Amino acid sequence: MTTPPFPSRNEPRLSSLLGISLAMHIVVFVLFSGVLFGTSPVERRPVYFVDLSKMPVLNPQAGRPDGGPAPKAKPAAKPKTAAPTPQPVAQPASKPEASKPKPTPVDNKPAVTQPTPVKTSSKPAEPASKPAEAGQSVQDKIAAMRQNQQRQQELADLKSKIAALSGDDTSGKSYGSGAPLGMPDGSGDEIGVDQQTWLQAFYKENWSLSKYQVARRDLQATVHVSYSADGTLTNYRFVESSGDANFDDSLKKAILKTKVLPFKPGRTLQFDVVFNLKDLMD
Amino acid sequence: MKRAGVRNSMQVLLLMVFAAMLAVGCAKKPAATTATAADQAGAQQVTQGVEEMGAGETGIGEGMVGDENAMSMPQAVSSLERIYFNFDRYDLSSEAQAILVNNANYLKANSDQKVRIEGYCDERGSDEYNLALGERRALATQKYLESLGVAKDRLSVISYGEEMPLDPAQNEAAYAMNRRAEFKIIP
Amino acid sequence: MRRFATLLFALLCLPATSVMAQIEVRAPGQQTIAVANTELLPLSGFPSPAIARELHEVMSYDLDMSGLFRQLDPASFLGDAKRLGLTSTQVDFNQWSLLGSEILIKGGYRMQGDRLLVEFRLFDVIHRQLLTGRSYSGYPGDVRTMAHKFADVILKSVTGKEGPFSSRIAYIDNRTGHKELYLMDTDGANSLRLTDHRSIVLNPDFSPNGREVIFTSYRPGNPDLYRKYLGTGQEARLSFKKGLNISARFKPDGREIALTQSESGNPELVLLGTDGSQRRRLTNHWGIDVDPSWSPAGDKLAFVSDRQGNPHIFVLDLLSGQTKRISNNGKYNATPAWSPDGDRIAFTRLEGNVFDIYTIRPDGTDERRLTFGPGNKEHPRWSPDGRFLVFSSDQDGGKGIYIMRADGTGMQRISATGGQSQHPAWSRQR
Repeated sequence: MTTPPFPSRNEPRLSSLLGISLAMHIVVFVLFSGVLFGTSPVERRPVYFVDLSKMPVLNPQAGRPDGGPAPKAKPAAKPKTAAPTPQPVAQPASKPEASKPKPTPVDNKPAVTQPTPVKTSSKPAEPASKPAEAGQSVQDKIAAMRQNQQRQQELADLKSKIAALSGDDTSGKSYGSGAPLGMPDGSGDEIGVDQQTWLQAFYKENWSLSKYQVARRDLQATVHVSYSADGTLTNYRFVESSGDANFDDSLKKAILKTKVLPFKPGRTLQFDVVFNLKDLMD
Repeated sequence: MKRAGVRNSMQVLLLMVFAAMLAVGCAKKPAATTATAADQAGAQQVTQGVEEMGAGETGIGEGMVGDENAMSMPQAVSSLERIYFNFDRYDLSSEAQAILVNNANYLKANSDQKVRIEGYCDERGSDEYNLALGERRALATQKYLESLGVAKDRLSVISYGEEMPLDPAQNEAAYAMNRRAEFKIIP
Repeated sequence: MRRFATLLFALLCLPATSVMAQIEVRAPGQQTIAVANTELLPLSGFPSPAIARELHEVMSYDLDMSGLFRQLDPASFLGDAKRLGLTSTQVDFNQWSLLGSEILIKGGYRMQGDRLLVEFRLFDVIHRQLLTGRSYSGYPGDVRTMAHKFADVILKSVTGKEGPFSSRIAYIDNRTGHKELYLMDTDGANSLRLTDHRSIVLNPDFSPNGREVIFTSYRPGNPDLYRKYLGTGQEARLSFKKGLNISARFKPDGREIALTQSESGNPELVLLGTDGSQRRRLTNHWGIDVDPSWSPAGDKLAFVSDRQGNPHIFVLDLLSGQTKRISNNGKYNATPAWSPDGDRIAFTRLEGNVFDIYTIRPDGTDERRLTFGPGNKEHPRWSPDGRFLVFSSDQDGGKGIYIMRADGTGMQRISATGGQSQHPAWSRQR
C-alpha cells in the first residue's frame, strides 16, 4: 500500500541515473580506448626478426628481414608470415608457441622480437599460477614443457653461436622460396639486413639482466661504442649512465661479451646504444 | 507483539523448569565423574611439570595446575550447556540467552562451584584476531551471567581462538559448531 | 689548435666512418643470468661424492629460488668443470663463454680429520675475473649451511644485496600431538623442535640478533608470552597478564616488544621492555587490536583492528599517535607484515572463505594480489632481505610452510608433510 507513490517520483530519477550511467560508461570507454592520451607516448617502432648468424649488409634489398628459408613450415608459424610487415612490439604471451614449429634450430635463433629462453623460463610462474582453477599437475606439466623448451633453445643458441663463430657467412644461399631476402624497407641490391638492425638484435641478445637485479624499471643508459673496420671493439664509454650499478654493469658486459663482430664492417663504426627496460614496463 | 512476548517468557519459564529438573536429576553424578577425570588429568600435568622443571627450565615452574585439563578435549558439564555464535560476532542470540538463563539457574543452585568460560572460534579468520574474538565471546557470556545474578568472582574467562575445534571439518555445519562458548567447572 | 686537429681528423675519418642513428635496445634479450654451477672437486684426499652432491643440490635449489639465474645443463660442461683450477688464470673461460655462461661457480672440499673444509669461488666469465670466494670449515653436518652461505654471497655479488638462504625459519607444528615451536633451514631441512610445553604454542618472532624467539604458550593455563634463548634453550615468561598476551613482535632495534594484552578486558596493543616490564599502552579503543608489525625504522606499527566494523589493516604513527586505515578493499584483512625495505606491507584477505596474500604501500595505495588458486595462504612474513615471503598454506591438504618470491612467483613448499605447520617467522641474517 505504500508502494504506489514511489515509482512516479522515481521515474525521472531513474532515467537520469541511466543517463549518468551511460555517460560514465562512455567516459570509461573513451579513457580506456586511449583516444585521449594517444596510445603511444612510447613510439612503436618496427621490430624485425633478425637472424644473427646471417651477417648484415650495407645496402639491403627489399624483402624479408629474417634471412631464413621460406617457411615450408606449417601455416601455424605466424611470425614468418607476419615478418615482412613491420610488427608491433612483440606480445610475449603469444610468442612461445610460435617459436616452436620452426623448421631448423638455426632459425630458432632468437631474433629481435622472439622471447628468449629467459622469458619462457622466468615469466611462466605468473601466468601459470594465476588462473584459480589451474591444477598442480597442469602446472607441473607446463613447467616440464618449458624446461624442455628452454633446453632446446639453449642448444639452438649454442649451435648458432658456434656457427657464428666459425664465420660461415651464409649471405643468401639459395633458399627454397624465391622470395627476396633483405629488409622490408630496403632499396639496395644486397641480400640481408642492414647493420643497424643487426646490431640492435646483437646487443639485445648479448644483454643479460634479471628484473630481480634492479629495483626499478625506469632505467636508461646510453653507451657510445666504436669498432674498427675489421669489426674489433676499439672503445666504449657511457654517455649517460642509469645511476644503477647493476644495470650499468650489465650493459658493460653486453658490450664486452663479443669484442669482435662476426663480420667486417669495412669501415669504422661509431654509434650510441640506448639501453632501457621499456619493453618490460607494465 | 505482546503475544510473542508472552510466548517468549513462557519458553523461558519452561526452560527454567527443565533446567531445574536437570539440576536436580542428572547433575550430581555426571558432575562427580567429570571431576575425577579432571583430577586425573591434573595429576598427570603435575608430573609433567616436575619433569620439565628437572629438564633445567627456569622461571616457569608456577602452576594453576588445575587449568591444565583444558588441554584435554573439552568436556562440558552436562548442566552447563554451551552456546553458539555467528561468524565474526560475539553478541548473544536469543537462543544463547535462553541457554544462559538456564546455566545461571544451575550456577545459582550450585553456589559452591566456580566456572571458567572458554571462548572458541571457527577456523576462518586470522589466528590472533580469533583469540581476541574468542575472548570477546567469553566476556560477553560472563557479563550476561553476571547480569543474571551469578557472582563475578565465580566466573573466569579464557580464549582458545580457533585452536580447539569441536569438529575439525571444513564446512558451514562444523564452523557453526566451533563458534562457541563452553563452561568448565573448576575443581 | 687541438680542437682544430680533432676536427680535421674527424673530417678525414668521415668518409671511412659509418654514422648511424642511435640504436635503442628496449629489453635485455636474456632476463636471467646464465650460471654454470659445477660440482665441487676434492682438494686433496679421497673424493666424497655425497658431500659434493649435497653442496651442489643446495646451491642449485637456492639459485633457482632466487629467480635470478638460468642454470646451464651440467651435461654440456666441457673439460674445465672437471679441473681444479680455482684462480682466474687457471680457469678456461673460453669453454664457459662458448657455453653461454656468464658466471661460474667452482670450488673444492677436503676432509681434515672430522672437519670439513669447503672452498667456493664465483667467476665472471665475461670479464674473466674472480668475483668473490669464501672458504668454510665445519663438520660434515654443516654442508648445507655452507652452500646456503655461499649462495647468499653470490646474490650479494650479483645484486648488491645479500641473500637470505643461511637464515632460519621458526614455525609451529603439531606432529607430537601438541602445537610446539620448531626451527628449520630456509629450504625446510634440519627441522628441530624447540619446545616441550605439551600445550598450545603460537606465533613466534625472532629477536633482531636472532638469538631469541618469543612466542605465546598456554602452558600456564593462560595465553602468556615466553622468550626462549636459542643458544642455551633457556626459557622465561615475559608477559602473563590476565587474558591475552599474544602476537608479540620485537621492535627492529631489539629494545622493545609490541604485543596484544587484554588485561583491561579489551585487546589493546601494548609496549613491553625486553625484560617484560610494561612500558605503555599504544591503543585505547573498544575494538580488537591485534597483530602489530613494526616499520623498519620502528616509528610505526601496522596492526589489525575491527574498530570500523570488520577487521582491517591500520597504521599507527607512534610519534604523533595518529592511526590511519590502509586497507580499503575486502571485508576481512589480517596479519600485516611490514617489508624490511619499508616500502610495502604484506597482509592476507579473506574472500570467499579463502585467505590470499596481498601487498600494499604503507600509505594504502598500490594494492597488489600475490597469490591465487585453491587453498588458504596465511601469515606472511618477509625474508630479511625482502626478496621472499614465507607463509602457511593448506593448498596441498594439511597445513604446510611455503615460500615464494616477493612478486608471488616461485611458490614452493618447504616444510615436511606429516604435521600441521603454521605461523612461520623468518630470522634476520646470520
